[in-house]
Amino acid sequence: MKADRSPLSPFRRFILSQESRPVTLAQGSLAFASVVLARNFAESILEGDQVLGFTPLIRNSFYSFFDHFFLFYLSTFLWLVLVLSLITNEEVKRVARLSLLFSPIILVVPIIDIVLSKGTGYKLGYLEGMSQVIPAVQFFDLKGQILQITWGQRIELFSVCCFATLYVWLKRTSLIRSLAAFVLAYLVLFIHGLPQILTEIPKAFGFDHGVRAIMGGGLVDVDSQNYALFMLLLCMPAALALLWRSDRLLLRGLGIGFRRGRCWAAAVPCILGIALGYLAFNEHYRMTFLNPYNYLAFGAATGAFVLASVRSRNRKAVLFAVTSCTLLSVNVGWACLLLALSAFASARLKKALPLLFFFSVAGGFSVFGQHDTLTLLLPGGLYRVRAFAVYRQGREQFIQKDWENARKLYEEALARGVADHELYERLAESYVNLGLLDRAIPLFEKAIATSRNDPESYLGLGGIHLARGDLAATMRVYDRAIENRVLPDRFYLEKGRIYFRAGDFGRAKGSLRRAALMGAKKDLLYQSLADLAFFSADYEEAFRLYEKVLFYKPRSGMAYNGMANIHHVEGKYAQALDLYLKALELTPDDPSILNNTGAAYLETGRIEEAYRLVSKALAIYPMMAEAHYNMGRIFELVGAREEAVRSYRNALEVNPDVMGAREALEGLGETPP
Amino acid sequence: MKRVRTGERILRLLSWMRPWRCVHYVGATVFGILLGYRIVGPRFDLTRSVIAAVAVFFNFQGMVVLNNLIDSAIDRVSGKKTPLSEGAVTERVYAVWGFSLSSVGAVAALFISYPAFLIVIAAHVTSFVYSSPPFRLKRFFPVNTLFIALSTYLAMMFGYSIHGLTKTFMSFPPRLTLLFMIVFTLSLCFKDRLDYRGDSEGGVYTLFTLLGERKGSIVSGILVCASYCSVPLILGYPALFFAAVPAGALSFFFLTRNPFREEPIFIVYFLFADVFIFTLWRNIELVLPKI
Repeated sequence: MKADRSPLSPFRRFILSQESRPVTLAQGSLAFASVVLARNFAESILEGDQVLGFTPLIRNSFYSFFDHFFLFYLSTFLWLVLVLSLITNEEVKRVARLSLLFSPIILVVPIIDIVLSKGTGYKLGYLEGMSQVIPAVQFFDLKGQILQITWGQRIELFSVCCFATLYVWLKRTSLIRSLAAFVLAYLVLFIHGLPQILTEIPKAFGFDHGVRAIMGGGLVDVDSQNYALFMLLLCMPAALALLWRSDRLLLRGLGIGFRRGRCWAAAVPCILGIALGYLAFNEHYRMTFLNPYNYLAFGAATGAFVLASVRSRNRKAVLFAVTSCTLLSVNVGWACLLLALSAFASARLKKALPLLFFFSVAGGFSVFGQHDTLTLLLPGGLYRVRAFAVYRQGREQFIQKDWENARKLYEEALARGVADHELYERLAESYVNLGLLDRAIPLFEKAIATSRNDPESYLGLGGIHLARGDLAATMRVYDRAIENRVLPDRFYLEKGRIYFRAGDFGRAKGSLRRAALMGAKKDLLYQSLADLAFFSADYEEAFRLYEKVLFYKPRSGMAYNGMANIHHVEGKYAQALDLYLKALELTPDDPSILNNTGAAYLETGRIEEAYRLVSKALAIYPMMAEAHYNMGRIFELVGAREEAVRSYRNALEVNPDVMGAREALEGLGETPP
Repeated sequence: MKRVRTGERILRLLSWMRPWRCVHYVGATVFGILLGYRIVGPRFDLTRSVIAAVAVFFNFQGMVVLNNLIDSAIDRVSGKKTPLSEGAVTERVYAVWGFSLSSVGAVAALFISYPAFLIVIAAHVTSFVYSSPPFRLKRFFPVNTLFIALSTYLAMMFGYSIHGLTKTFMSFPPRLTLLFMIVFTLSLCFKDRLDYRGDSEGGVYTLFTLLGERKGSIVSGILVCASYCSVPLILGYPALFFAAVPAGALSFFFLTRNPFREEPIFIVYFLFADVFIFTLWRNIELVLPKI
């Protein structure tokens, strides 16, 4: 035989040697899990408050850490192995072994991103809707600014595509197959990056309502669960196809275990349970069929109970069934997991069909009932169903920012005995957004008492006191957060800002120093220092520090806003306006930037634009005294005296010390409150 | 194999707990606890501190079991005493023992906090990737010592995390991260000297299998000495040279001496660590961020 003397021969030899190395299934699975956990870990520690993060809210980060990202990579891996084994016609085990060795490439994302972002990390969201999905196709347009995709992700994706191409080339030396591998690898990753695409389905049928509530408004509790469900159901066909190619015995073992009668005995009651849940909830919660993720939950629950009913003598098949059943049910909820495992155990008992029936009905119902499933199924449960459903509906309205309806529904849930930290906090936030501050305070207090480690409650409560100008009360709230070790870096930063607002620059610096010790991000730290310099009228230093913020976070709207503020106080309105507009482009929904830009328009005589922006600022945050004041000035300029007086009064009501409002009222011949 | 009672078996297993390395990891955790207390203050949570030390002990023992299980063949060649090479337990019993130790350690960490639990998970990931196929990074120098340094760093972070900071890693002084990663990566290669024969047979690339036992000893001695001297340099505190230079010289001497024994090297290391902790306690501003 002719020896392979091509320059690629060492690579071929490497591939052959690695493909044939003995690795057991357990070792391979643990190695894969280790790589994914290492990636999640690196992302959490390096990028701090990104999606994962060491957040004190365990419930939210638990699913991301151990479930959502894990399933994302598992599905990608399985699909990639399937594609490569089909294109090269190679044994699945061999492709899997080599792909596993390549899997640490996913660690480049957090590492590259933290280097390129100079330590500040990126706060990413998922692509929402077609308007964001279409630009994401420009993945390889290196000059393109794609907000939702970082350089680390681009490099990761490109490396995976290159790996696929090179592997196929080394195996088959066929240009067409190699190019097909590149394209298919790209498609696999691209599709996995689009779980939100499901939200487009109701839109296509003309249901706009509820589309925004897809995540939090779904039947499952945590957003990551929804994503995990998508990934799980995506990886199932790949897993089955791979089993078909590699281990038909196992599949047959499962097939034998799927005795039709038993299978129906699990599936039918589960669907019955879902229907029961639907009938019980539908009167009070009509969104069920508008949320595509709910269908995934239905499918996952049914699949879990069908797999739980499997009885096979093939140990591998049983392991496969129990793993799949666990993964499917845990993503529907903890109640579903417990019921599915109970069903699994009862399926092993003789004459236990009634038990299997009960667990399957309850499991189906748990899609709606979640952790309250068993109490809802007890006598008198219908009353609790109503409370529970109203609570869920309130959550949906809250996510859609329909504060009035959210308030009504949450109040009803509260009256019906729902006592939950989230309920207290969201009802309080609804009150804040409706301007009912006095009602919000006790609810925030209750939220803190129920769960001491949620930063949002402290920020909400502190925000009310701050809006009212009661700095001492705000400090007390933030001190409590620090005492309870809830994001101390964030609260020291907030304290620093309050101190320099009160003119106590020494203490402000002390607080910022503590924030730095507690791991505050550099951009936030310099932003605060720059603001401090600005408030102490050291504009040159402030400008230098804002530039430093931009060094760490080039897309910081707040830094541009700060620089614009400097120009504004120096009377350079045109330059200020340019910078405000840049800030607005980067942070379109920040009420303070909207208000400042409106003020700059006002100074340049463009009243219509000013009105538009200040109105938007007030719509987002009605408790902004400065925006009410600016609105008063706008009304005064157009001669709407009554509206101007009302706006100035609103400003003083929110914050009695707001600059200029008192004088403006007096100028209009009115007595300030 | 002779049948033994469970209690006796547990005692036997505990006698293989690798005390010097154990002190190294538990010491790293205690250092993390003290550092956190010095920086964050003012509360000192004794209960959590004790749980943390116990958790690290259990987790470390679990990792040792994993390593011994995978390296059982190599250990027999090296003549290294482990419960498996001595035939004290079967592989199955030993695996159950290791899993139990790790589980106790992980549950103890969960009692401290969620971040602490995640750090323990990270440490197990590091240990698995280091010891087990398909990656088995212990085969490659200097990646193997880098991973040991990483484990030490994680033990330290575990101690630091008991203070309940939400951003455990971001708040840890970056200068100390740099210091520990460099120092431990340079110095910990000496631990492979005793496994020289087994590593050669098992295809594990360590400094000693790459350079030979004699040359490897000299080079690792130089690296250990350099690591001691790098401490005052990185810390920016020249007075520490008075402790670092003798510690480095003594370590070099013990490392190149025949027959080799690792105990004196650990004793020198622990003594220097005490001086280092005392210095840092008195001059904490050396590592704090400046704004």
